[in-house]
Amino acid sequence: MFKSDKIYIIIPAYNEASLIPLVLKDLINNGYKNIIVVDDGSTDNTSDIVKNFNVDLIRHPVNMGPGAAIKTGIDYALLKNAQIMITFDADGQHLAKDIPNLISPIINNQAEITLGNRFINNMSNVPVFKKIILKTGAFLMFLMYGILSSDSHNGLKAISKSAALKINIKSNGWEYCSEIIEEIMLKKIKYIEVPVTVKYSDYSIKKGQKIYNSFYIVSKMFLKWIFG
Amino acid sequence: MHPIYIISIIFIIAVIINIFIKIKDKKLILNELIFWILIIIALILISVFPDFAVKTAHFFGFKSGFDFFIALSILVIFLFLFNIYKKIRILEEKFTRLIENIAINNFINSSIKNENEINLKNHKDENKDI
Repeated sequence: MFKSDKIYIIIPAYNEASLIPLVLKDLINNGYKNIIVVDDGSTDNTSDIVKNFNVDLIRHPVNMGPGAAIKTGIDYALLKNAQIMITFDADGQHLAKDIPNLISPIINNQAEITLGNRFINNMSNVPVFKKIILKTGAFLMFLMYGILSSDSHNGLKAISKSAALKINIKSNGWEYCSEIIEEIMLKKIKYIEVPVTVKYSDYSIKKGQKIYNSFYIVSKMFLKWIFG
Repeated sequence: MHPIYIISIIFIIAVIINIFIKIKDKKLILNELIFWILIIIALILISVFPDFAVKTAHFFGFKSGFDFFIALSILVIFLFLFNIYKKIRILEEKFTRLIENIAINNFINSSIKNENEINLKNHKDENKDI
């Protein structure tokens, strides 16, 4: 029997003081109690704001990147004997109402990982330039790893304990999303894509991954693909 | 004498001085020593037997010794780059694990400390009531 207190939400946060209270309120109001915020060496008052909520706040002494923050969150959740870990962005792009759909395939043993996909059902108002970048990235993922996911860089994912123990995230930056896809392929982890909504605001577009950043991610993945 | 041979001789002397300084300071590791000895041998062969470079280049299908030198340099640089990339990745992974452990341990320790403080406060309050 699955216990809801074994669900942990992991939020990597870097300088998110302005929106993280809304994200935490959304999650808490939807009944999620186990929330882990990994402050990735923020230089603003993110930590001070998070301390006002009843959540676990882990602080990286220096900024390491979202991949490293997710890894810290997963390792801590595993220490707490989490059964399902949900990675959730701190910039207000994700909605707590999507979580039940995301975890349902894991609870029903249909998958070990569920990947949020903003393109299924087209519920998100994705800007055109973002769509082009994401689709190109997804095509490159298909060429490199043979997995066709139209939204490989969506931060909203649910990971079961069994999958978390198999996946080894080595990348510190945004390329961790591609690395998870690679690990799914290499370790033959059962996955399902679930439609989710991604809210776009001026803030999230400004904070999110830039075009030049996508070139950097591709070059890093390519180097890793060649050199291992 | 061709200028390249004068440069080679100066370079050989500089490398030998560098090796002696490092041996004196006990800073030279075996791999490094082997690498520099191979460089010195190659430079001596080129300087003493000028035809050697040309013949070697022709043997490997290059038109001139210079082309061969450039191709070989690119190969050596690529190997160095590969080695450095690997080392940086390993160091980055170790550093990340270290930061992660520090972050989790700090949080667990602060939680235990807070819990102890609350327990102590409750204990004091109970004693007051008695």
